[in-house]
Amino acid sequence: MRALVLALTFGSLTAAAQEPAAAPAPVATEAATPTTPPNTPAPVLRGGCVTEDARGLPEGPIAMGYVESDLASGRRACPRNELGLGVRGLGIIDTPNFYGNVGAQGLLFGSWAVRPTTELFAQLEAISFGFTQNATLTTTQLTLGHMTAGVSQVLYDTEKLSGALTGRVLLPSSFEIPGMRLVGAEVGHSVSWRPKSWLEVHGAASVDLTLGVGSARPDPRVGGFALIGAMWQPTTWFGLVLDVNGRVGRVSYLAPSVGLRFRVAALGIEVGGSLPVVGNDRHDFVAGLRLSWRL
Amino acid sequence: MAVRLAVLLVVLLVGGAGCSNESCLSGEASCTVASPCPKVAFDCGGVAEQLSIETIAGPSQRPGGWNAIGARGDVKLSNTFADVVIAGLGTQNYLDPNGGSVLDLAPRGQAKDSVNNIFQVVGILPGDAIRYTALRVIDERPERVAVELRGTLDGRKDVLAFTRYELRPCDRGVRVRTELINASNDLELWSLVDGYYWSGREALPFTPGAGSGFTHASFNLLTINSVFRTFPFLAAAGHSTDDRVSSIASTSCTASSMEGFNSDQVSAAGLPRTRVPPRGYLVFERFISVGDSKGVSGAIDVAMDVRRQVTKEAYATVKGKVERPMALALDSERTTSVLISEGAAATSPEQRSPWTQVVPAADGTFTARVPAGKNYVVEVHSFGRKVVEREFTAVAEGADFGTFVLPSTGAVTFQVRDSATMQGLDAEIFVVPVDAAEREKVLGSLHGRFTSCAPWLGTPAGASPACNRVLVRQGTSTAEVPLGRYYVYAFHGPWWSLGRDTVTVMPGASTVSLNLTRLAGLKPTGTITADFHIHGAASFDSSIPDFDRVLSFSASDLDVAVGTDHDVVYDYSKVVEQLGLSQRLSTVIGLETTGHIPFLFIPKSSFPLVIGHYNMWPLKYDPSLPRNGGPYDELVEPGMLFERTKPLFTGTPVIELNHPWAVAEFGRDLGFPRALAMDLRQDLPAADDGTNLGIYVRTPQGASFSNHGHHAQEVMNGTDNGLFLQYRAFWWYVLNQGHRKVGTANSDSHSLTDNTVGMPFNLVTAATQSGPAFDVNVLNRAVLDGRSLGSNGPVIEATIEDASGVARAWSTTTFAPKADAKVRVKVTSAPWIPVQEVRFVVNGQIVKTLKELPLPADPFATSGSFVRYEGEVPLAELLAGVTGDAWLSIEAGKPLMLAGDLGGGQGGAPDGMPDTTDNNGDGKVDASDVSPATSKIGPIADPPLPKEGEAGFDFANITLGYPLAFTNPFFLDRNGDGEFTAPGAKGGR
Repeated sequence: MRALVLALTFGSLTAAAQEPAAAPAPVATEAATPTTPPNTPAPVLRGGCVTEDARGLPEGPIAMGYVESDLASGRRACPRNELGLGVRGLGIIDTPNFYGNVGAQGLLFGSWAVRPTTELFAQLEAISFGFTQNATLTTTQLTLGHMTAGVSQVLYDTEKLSGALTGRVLLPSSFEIPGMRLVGAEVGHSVSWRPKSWLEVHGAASVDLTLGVGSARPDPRVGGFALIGAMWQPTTWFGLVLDVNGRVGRVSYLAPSVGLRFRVAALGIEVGGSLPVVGNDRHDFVAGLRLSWRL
Repeated sequence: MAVRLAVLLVVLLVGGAGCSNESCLSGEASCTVASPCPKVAFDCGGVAEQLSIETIAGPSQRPGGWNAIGARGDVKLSNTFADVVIAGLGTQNYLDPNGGSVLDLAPRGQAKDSVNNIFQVVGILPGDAIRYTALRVIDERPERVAVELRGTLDGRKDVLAFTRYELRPCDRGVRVRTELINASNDLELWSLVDGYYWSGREALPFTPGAGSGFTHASFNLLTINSVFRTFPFLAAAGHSTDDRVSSIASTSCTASSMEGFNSDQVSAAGLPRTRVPPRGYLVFERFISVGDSKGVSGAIDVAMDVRRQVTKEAYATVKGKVERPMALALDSERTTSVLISEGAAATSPEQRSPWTQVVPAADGTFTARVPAGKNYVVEVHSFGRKVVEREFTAVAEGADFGTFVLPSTGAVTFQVRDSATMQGLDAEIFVVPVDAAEREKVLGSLHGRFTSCAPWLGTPAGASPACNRVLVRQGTSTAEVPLGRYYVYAFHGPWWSLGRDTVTVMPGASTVSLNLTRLAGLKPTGTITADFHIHGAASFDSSIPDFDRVLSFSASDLDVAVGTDHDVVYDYSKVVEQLGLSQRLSTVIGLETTGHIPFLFIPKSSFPLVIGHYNMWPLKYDPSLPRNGGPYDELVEPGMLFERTKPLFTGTPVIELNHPWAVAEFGRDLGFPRALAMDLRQDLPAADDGTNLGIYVRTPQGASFSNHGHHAQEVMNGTDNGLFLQYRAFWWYVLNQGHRKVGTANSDSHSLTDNTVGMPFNLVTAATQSGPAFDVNVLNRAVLDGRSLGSNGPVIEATIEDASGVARAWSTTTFAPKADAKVRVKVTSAPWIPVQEVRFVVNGQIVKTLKELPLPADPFATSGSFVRYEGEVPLAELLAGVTGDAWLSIEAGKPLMLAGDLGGGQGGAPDGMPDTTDNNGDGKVDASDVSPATSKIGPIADPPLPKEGEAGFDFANITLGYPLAFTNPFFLDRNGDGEFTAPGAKGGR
């Protein structure tokens, strides 16, 4: 319960620092590699995390969801320091019902492993563009998008398996909704298992709550999310990821995702796409590109 | 500590979200919509305050006016200055799916409602309209009265809607607030607006903006997004050109502008197009003012006051005066319309921004409000033309524009008499410039709207004088006419001679006298003329006052006029009595059902459709009921519509399919066959087989009528016979399918201008006459028997001997012809209605044409022979090549254009419907006839209008068409089985 609450708040770091006993069981420590920037906790986990020689390569689930920012998209279990930018595109093209909606967001994201087992992270849709068309009308919108911030705390880490509790909050940054701000929170658990050096299997499950803040009714909506997937990593600079996402709630879907990951030194590149095949979600596609620099 | 903080945060988020109980945005059942426009206040200026709210129980509570339709169950709010009627729940009118729209809005206590319908929508699809499901009356007198409605988008339970209409004692209009909440999962694109249904011949939208005013970009359903504009307000006024008009204007109570689009058919004014994600909402507050004015200025003056209070925009009240020597009137839009536009004399009209339009008072004075401190150009328009223009700079409060002196006109008194008795006749005068140069001098329009006319004597859609036409009552009428040289025609129907004089109109008074002669023997005995399709101001798309409407029946010497106003039952008999015409003119109460809300899907098409228009008569008139007792005609197929109407008939019913292949307007088909995109090359199935043709023949669930359960079909529609080739083609098709639908010919007149009542007409052989003894049942039975012809002048009499040697006229009754039977034909017409050929049609093909018939030497002759052809044609000659039973129809008139089917069906495929005429005159119909080049079919043209000196020149000056008549068919049982066996799409060949 305590961990859950911590994950829901920005105070979790402080709480963790003040209450070290709340942290998961200690894990083995290793010496920091020469490339680790000074004053930054070294990535010391084993489990499913990428090895040091592939440290720039993105890991965990494909970081791409169907809802606001990175809610309901899974989260890697392994803390790291990185900064990145990316784009995400979503589209609904429903010709029989005279409806089309295409959105694109320019993303800024980053994470800070404040401790080997604890990571703070955030993502901002710095630019959110939308184009919508119905039978006869079209319009566009350009605005600041959603922002999330969160924390993950590794709960266990063995030779091949890592698991972390994650939590994030959706901050009322977006001007997308006329007269309303959207806030929310999500708590979940992420797992990474590496049975082979070239294969990482990951999973995630979470529940989220979003609600409006403003003059209109808040219309709280709860959703549940689960993901399972794997990354085939034949080399230290390439990975192929296949995920299956599922969500229940007001909007539901079962959606396979595919992603390609590359590493150039500390630069990670992830290109992915997803397509709902079951459920009431109307998206025809979600696709994204993320560039991350591991610090 | 951290736990406490976290819990507190969650509590704040959940509890604080939506904590503002603003109005009904919470969506709670107990909510009350906030009072609209809190920044706006009026005083009563010393007039005693009044405020009331009542549920209408009878027609006496209607505000009155040509568009007033408030009925039992609707809610009327009244204050010191305004009456507004809100449709009760379940009261469906026009585009409003379930009530809650504004039906009437007029200055208090005055019969001046110029509003058809104001309703709330977020787009133009059926599901974009708000469907209200709850109505609450709020009586908080003396402060306010209000009507609050709640509902959803039509068919969208997850989009919540709330609207409040409110009147305070001194409001010069109605306050309105609409809230719309997206509780769905989808991001929506909404244009939350009030929709204004003008309809094309009534009020015209006026918006300030460069090059705007009454002028708006044209569009269709696919280009509508490109014509959205922002404007400070939307105004409009009626144009019936009598005293029963008022003006309205809508102004935002929260912003300096609104967004929308405008056309003569429909306007939208409201919030900008907005993406609304789930949980989002929109609030639209506006003040819809009403002004007691003939131009738009009355309501705009109020709108300027609202803007001053909302946006701090200062206005200046300006004044001026208009004079014209010996003017008959200055307080009419036809004689004087002052347009005040921001700009300079040096700037083009496209760069000026019109702010208001004012019609002066009887003494020529006028006042109006415009934004203060700007430069303006003041244009004075008279008889449809700008005649004076002046520039004023930095206009301040109280500015006096001075006196505008208008050019002189002629005050012409038209006298029309019966040459036999020298008694005055009711007649219609047509004023036609003698040549192109004269025409150019007097060509005008109402600020570019409606039809252009030469001369423009008044608004084409309104009262006489309208366009170039003047109604004459009992022999005399006086009208102001711009100076020029004209042919003046006097018309009193096809049984009379046509009068013409060549007149030079000079300043001052003058008289034109024309005597008309009834042409003996032209109208066959035992016949009665009837026009089954006539509209008046009761229709949403007509502005012709009842007095003029009924006078026009008499002017055409029509026997029976069937009132078929759109979606409302209407009774013209009281006006007939008032005009003293009851002894010779009869009216029948009917209506034209008019689909507004698309719902019907057909194979291979994703756009919903409406079922077009049907006329029905005789019906019960009950003005206390919605639609005056007319049926709810939306969202059902024709068979069910007929079922709904069945209990409303008061006599032998006739249901008529109107203009079956007319071009859709604003996405609404006007004819069911065209809506279905029927392929006329295919035979109709016996039952619904899932095809377009199957829809035509099926019987909707719960109905006892099939979708082709109508009795009659218009073959001629409109005075110019436009689209005759296509209407005829469809009639021939259904006759070939064995459906004995009676062909009719109607004017579909909505004014003095668009069509002339009784041109064309149905000449029905029936044992009843117009006047006190008229029996509509006898007339209708004759119609149902097919004992009628359609014509705009020529009369065809024909018989065929049956097997027993009896000469039989045409009817729906099948008979076996005598073995060597001949078709005996006689065609007569007035000298001014030339008949150049007679055509024989068998099973949908013209099998013989008698060409180049002799033409009358003098079109204005009043005596001599009126027989254009008389002779016999062997029936065997006509039936050659036909193997089975046959139907035979005869036509007379001018040669028609050669036409062909180059496509036009679904997917552009041929559909058996002629769509293109031989427009290059090379004797064949092919791609070289098509224009514009981007098209693959069309146009389908009428025969060219004759030049002066050619046959039909004078006829065309009145009708803009050509002489034409057709008979209903003889149904010939050739195989002797006592039945008429349908020849099929190939005509039995």
